Amino acid sequence: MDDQPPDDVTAEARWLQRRPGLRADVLASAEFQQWRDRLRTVVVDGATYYVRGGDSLRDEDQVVVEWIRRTRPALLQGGEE
Amino acid sequence: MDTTMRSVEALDEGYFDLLKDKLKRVEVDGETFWRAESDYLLDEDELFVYSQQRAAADAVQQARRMTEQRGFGSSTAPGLATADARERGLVGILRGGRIVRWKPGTVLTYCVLRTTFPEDDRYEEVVAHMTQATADWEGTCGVDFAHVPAADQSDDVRPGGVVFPVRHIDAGGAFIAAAFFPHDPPSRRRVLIDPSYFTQGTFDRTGVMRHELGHVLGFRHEHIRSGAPPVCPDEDLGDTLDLTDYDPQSVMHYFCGGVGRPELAITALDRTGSRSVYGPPLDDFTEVSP
Ligand SMILES: [Zn+2]
Repeated sequence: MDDQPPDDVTAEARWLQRRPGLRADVLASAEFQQWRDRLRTVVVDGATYYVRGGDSLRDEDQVVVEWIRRTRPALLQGGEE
Repeated sequence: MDTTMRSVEALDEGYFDLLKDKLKRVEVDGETFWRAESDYLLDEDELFVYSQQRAAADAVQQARRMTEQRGFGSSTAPGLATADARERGLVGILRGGRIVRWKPGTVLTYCVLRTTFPEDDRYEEVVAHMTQATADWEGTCGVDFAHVPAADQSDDVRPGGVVFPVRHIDAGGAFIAAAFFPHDPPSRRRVLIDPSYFTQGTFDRTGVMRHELGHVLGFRHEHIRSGAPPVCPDEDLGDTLDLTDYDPQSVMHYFCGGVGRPELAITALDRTGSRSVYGPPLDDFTEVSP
């Protein structure tokens, strides 16, 4: 049982690290870019985050995974760990 | 959607005009938006849809009041979604099929970074709100928060000795406050407060902190469920677990679609849901050492 994140990396980043082609495909997709560019952003300590759900800050890998979940949910079956 | 369509389909055109008049108007890149639910910008068409959904929610509530006064059993207005549709209060997070929570015995230490606040009054206000909001959660379920005042003076935005800092940041109104979840990376554990926290008039400020601390404890928004009014913002539902029935009054529910409460108080269903993850308040026990 995990009782803490093993390092300072999100589960989404770990999941995408194992699927670099998928990450690149999503980032290159015009639909994803259009969707992402409409999201509100904030900069905290030099890093850009997307405001999701009104009060949650997500980084680029996290919105990539959100996009995959919205558009190709089957790819996420089996979890993000 | 054009104006002709609107007048044909409108449930209550007057409500649309009223909201146009009442809500704050914001110009972004030459386009006009209206600010609703404290942190959503709606263009004119979106505002129209929103006004119709609000009018529908009001009609449901009015029907409910009338049937209650008359002693009738049902309060569902035909063709309108009910605000109290029974779905399965709190929504938890799953990772690897297990509920995400802080490890038992964890003391959620925090500081309120004084140097990030433009004025001492605001810092002191947030300290007071955090004291109350953490006490409210500690009285609800088995969690333990502790303010570490010595760390309040730190110049480091990630001070050592605390699980998370609370800090003021000018996010341009992108949020009133923002929080994190237990499984977020340690560097992302922070509660951020925008200047609008102090100027918004919709929500009780201690209630906002109760809501943000709900996220810190691992609870997602209540209004992302299928039973919530459609005007409520949707979110990625991946890896979530319904812990109780849908609760339109939940501390984790935004003020949207005519439901939610500006007090952001912890409800009985919030208590049930949070206890299913963290157990009863720690003060309920007499601890005996082996
Ligand atoms: Zn929230």
